Amino acid sequence: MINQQFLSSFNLRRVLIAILWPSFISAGIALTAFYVWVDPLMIANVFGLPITERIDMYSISFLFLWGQAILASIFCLIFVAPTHHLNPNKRDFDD
Amino acid sequence: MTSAQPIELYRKREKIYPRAVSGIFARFRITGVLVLLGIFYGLPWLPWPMFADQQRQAVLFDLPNRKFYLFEWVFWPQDFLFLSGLLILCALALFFFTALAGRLWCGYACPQTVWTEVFMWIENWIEGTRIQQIKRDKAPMSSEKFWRKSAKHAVWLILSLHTGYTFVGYFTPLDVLTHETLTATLGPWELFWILFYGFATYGNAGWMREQVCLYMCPYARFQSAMFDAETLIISYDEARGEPRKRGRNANDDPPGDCVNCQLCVQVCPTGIDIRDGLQYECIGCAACIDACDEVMEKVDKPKGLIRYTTESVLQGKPSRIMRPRIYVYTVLLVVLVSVLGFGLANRIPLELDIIRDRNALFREASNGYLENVYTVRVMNMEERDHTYTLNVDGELDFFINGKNTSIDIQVPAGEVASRAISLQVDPYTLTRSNYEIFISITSQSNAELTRREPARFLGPDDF
Repeated sequence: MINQQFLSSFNLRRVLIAILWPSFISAGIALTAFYVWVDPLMIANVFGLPITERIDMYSISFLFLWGQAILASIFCLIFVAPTHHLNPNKRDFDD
Repeated sequence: MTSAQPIELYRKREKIYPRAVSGIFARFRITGVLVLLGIFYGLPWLPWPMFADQQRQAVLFDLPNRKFYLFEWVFWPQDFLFLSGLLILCALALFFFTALAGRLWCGYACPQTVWTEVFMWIENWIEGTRIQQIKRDKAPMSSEKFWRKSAKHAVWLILSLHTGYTFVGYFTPLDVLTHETLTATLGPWELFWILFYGFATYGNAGWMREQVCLYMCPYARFQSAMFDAETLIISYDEARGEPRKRGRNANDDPPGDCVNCQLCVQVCPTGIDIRDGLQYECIGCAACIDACDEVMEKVDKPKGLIRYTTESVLQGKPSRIMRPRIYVYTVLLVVLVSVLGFGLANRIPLELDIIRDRNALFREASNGYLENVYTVRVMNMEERDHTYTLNVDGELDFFINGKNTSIDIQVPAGEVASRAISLQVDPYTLTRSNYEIFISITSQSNAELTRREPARFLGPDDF
């Protein structure tokens, strides 16, 4: 799926960092910005979640946002990698 | 994928073994580490008020109740402005110090540096010096290697777990947390965050180290924007040092002061050679200065072949550290600190919201008076009970909830009270359909605790 030559120019940790870390920061910022104005229990109530503790809602929301952002990071990595290995006859401008 | 040969999917990372160093900057850093970690591990245990019967944790970010306790203050989500101000202040201070003397933050105060330093103390204590560590890592597994490695990771893990535990203690009161830990009744999320933060500490300080600075830190990438030719940076004095001596029989003429002992490279926690010039990997820890000064002393040369200096000075120009940039940052910092300090000193821990009844603009009461209905929400942000007096003023004579000219509202400590109030006026005193009125509340025990909010009183168009 992802060009192996591209991946092998980094070490594994760096790839994991690129996926996990920016998404962690974004999720943290989004969570703070959102819950400063909104009571987490209200959200739980709106979605009918059986949650009575705010700390649970904070944690679940954070993991949800982080997961979303991880997804974005993975897509980002896939799209940024060169694609000529998928069709060797056609060259990208940037490969 | 036709070849059967194994494909290296990722590049290997080469481990850096920084050599231990002693000297004035190392002492600065050790002091910094001890003070900062002392604050981090100690602060949540501090009770407040310090000498009183009724105590709470001095610093507690009580997320479940959406209140931040900071010594004397209790902040609510409504005080978000202070938090933003504080963050802007931190950013400005970072700009200021970076423009002045490079990455002081990275070298002495960043949590990554602080915990890595402690983790390396543990590593050196259990695994020995740099040379011993390199040798042992290359050697095959032996019982000695096994127990030393296990012991190191065990100590690292204990410290990491304690760090995670302390971190969660900033959000859940530590006495509750300790009780729950001892009775094994920790909540699932508390346990999760202790392990998560502990694992992050173990991973970042034990395994990732300089890679956090190289690959994870955004500041490392944009700090150069705050540098200029007058910024104090750690640099190698090329004019004095070159040509370096190579081997025992170096016959370069005339030789520079650098004896090419490689110590500056060995002590570098990010594995760079400072003699190549300013690099983004340099975290400004000044370990190379300490190492080089020691060598210069031994070879009877003046210290400071590697030192804090500016680009201008290295080019033979006069140094001008106090420059417009520094003045501007200083003024901005002073202004912001004053504004925040003033705001904090004059903060009134009381909020008043007035919501008009949406169903009816006005109605005629049974006594013939014209009535408007409101909901008032009183937020007592202080840690003690208050009784507030509610008054209404405007061009008209109002009666509140019947025949009163004022009413009392009791709000327990740190709670929010909502009350429906009705305002009545004699319809014959009205001269127009729309009046601006002011509803105010004042604490009966402290007249400085007062809020006054505008509202509208509406009547018929055809009076």
